[in-house]
Amino acid sequence: MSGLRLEGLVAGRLSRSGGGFRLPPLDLTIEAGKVLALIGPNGAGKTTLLKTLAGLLPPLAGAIVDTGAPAYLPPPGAVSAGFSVLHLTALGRARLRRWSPGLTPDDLDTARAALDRLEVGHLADHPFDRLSSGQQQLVLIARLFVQDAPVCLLDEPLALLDPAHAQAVEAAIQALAAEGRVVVASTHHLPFAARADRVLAIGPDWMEIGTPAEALVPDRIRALFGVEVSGCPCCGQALS
Amino acid sequence: MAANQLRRTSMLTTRRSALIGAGSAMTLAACGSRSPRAAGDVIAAGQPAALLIWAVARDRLAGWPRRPSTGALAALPDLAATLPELGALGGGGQPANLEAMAALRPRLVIDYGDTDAEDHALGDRMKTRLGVDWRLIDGALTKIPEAIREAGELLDVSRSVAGLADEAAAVLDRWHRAPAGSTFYYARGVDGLETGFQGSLATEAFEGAGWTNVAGESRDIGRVTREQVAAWDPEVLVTMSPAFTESVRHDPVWRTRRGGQRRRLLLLPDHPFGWIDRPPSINRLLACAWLADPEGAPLTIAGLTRRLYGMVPAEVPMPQWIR
Amino acid sequence: MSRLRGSLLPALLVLLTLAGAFLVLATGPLGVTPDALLTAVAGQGAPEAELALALRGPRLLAALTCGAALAGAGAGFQILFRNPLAAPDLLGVSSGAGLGAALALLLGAGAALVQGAAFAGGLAAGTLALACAALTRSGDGRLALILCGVVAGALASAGLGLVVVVAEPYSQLPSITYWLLGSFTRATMPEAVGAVVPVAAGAAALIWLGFRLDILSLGDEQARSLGLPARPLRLLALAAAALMTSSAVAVAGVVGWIGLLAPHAARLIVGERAGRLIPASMALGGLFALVIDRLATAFGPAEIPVGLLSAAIGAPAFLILFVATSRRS
Repeated sequence: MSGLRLEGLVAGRLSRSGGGFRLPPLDLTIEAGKVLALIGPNGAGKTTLLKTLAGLLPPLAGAIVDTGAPAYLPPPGAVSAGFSVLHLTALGRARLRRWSPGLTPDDLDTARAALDRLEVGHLADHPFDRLSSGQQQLVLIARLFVQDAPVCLLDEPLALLDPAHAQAVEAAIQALAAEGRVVVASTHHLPFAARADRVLAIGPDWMEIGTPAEALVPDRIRALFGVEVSGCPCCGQALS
Repeated sequence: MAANQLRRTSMLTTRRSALIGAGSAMTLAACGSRSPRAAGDVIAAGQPAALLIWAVARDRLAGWPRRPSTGALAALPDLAATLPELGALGGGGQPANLEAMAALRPRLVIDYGDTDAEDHALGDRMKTRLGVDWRLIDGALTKIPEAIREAGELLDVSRSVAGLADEAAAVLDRWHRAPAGSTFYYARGVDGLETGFQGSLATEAFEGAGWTNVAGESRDIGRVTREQVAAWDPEVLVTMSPAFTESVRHDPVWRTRRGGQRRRLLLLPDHPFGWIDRPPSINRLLACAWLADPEGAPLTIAGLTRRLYGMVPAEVPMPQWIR
Repeated sequence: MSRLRGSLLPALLVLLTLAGAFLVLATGPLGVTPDALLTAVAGQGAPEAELALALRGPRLLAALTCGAALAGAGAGFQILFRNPLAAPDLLGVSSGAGLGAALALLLGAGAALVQGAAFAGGLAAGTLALACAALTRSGDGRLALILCGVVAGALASAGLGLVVVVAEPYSQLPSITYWLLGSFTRATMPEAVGAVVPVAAGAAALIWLGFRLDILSLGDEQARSLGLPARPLRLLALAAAALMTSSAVAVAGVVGWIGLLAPHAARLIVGERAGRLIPASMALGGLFALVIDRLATAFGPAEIPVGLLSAAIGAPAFLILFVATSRRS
């Protein structure tokens, strides 16, 4: 896996009435195995950037140097399905099954292994909709493992999760990256950003990329969010 | 009887009400431009009555409840084509525009068909609404001579219809004495799966001549399946539809009987009006005449056709046995 | 254990349907015994048995095809649109087919032509709905599809109303009305076989789509993220369902509620996965059609239109099913 490279990528949305917004051009290279955290106020364009990276929205300019098909995970609660957890996880292998009429037992085994790894294997036969947010998120990340995409884009993966599930999800994200993928995750949970490899801050009309140490100093946080923070805004943990 | 039977099939026509006024008014306007009709002062409440009035005193008929087909109009005297389509009063088919009818200043409304309490009540209602005298004549097949005489009286042509009434009585007399016939199934419509059950108006002519209607267990008109027809195993299929004839003449499902013999197929004329049905009116006399004496019938039928319809056809349409 | 359940249950349903089919084949007014029928199947039966086979065979085939097609299409729509009330008429296909048939009957066409016209009408309405929805380029287009389907259906119904007004009330109007009310008995063997072909093609497409339908039901974003070409696959699924529905209406008239009821019942037995739900729905739909077919001729010589029976039985059954499932959860 070779990492992610952006050349002058301008993400944004154009609306017909002439409104919409554009982000500044982004030149970026992330090596494989790294986690990039996206932080910024609501509405700054984090989701737009993620979807552009995922190929779900066309870029307004610039290019993403192709590293392979990316996988996109929407915020918790966006995915709902009535069928079983195991089936949902196994669907991650759909890309490999272009022409065959069904998923193979091999796909199911891979799915089961991924679920076990994230310690939600006991939920395999439950309907997905009956799980809690935290459990659903873990299942969806298990699906990311099954999907084996070189670039994983996660939109606020820790939102709505209790501390235990948040920890488990964070560990899973790190594991995703450790296997050689590029993981880009947007978050409001600044300690998670603090533990990432790089941080991309999206301000009202600027973008800054740097290490967590550089990006999470109080000046930069004040410039980004407009408020003074001493600890994490969502859980109060002290920032490192 | 006639009105009831037609009423049952008319339950499907409720959507027509929106276009009644427009249709009738336009027809009347169109007719007005062709020729002034001063003498048409009797309204037929349904198509059976129209045929009766046509036979008895056709210049008194104000209009058709249902316009006959183009082929029929071509065969009938020119007068037929000039009459407007008025719609039926309380019967089947397009409901009438009462205002358009009233504008014709009719003197009399004649209904010919069922004479049970329901129809009398309908007559009273219509009398009140239209303000015109309403007469109900019994439409039974066996009472056709009486019906002709009664209509003749109402229309002041008693002397000229006496001959027709006598001829009708003679036909019916021979018809009563016809020898027993075959078992039959009346295939109504293009697919032949609609039939008249025992005792229905449509099959009365055949049943009275000694033929046996295989369709029992129900009344009036209804739909059946092909398997049911096969189970009943009639000797003869009676139909008025050339389309049905064409589609089944070579079909073994319809033409092969249970024992393997070939089932006979009888195509009755429906030109200008059907011989036993559509409408079930005095036109059924033609079927009676033929059933009474299939061999010697053409002469009688030619005569009847002339008196009933006013036609002098080059060739009298006769029933055909289809190979 | 659930794996066993998964493969065993649909097979059981299919067996049940076949048993029902044989039962239907063996009963009828002609009173032919089953062994006589079997000899007729072999080609050496008495003329009466041959006749019974010639009459009942197409009826059976038409019933099974119609029931299975409507159920499969209904299941497909319910999965794609994630709406438990989605029925095969979603794209206006049934209304369009009815209009096609009514026009053909108005022009005095024969039975085979009427079937063809109905098929064409259904496909035309479906195509209209799909084309209009494609014009709107909104998101994954599900709402647009539903709206355009409603419009197409409404246009077809209006056209049908016009045909009813114009039709000759003594012969054409009853023909049209009875055609629309539905009957399994009017198809001949060639016509019934003609209906099987599009239904089989559509069913094969839906069954092949299987897990892809599950993915499509998650939404376009998820589908593309998982690597599926969402639009072409969705188009394939919709076209397959439209094909099946058109064919069903063309051979038997408008038979409602099977497409709504069978998938719900199947869901209770085999669960939510498309790969199992579609075949199970089709089997149950065929079974339901057989039951209705039997009832249609059980009360006297007149045939009760199957469209009426399917509503009379299907609607209460659906209600019971709905109450039962909501009590469960």
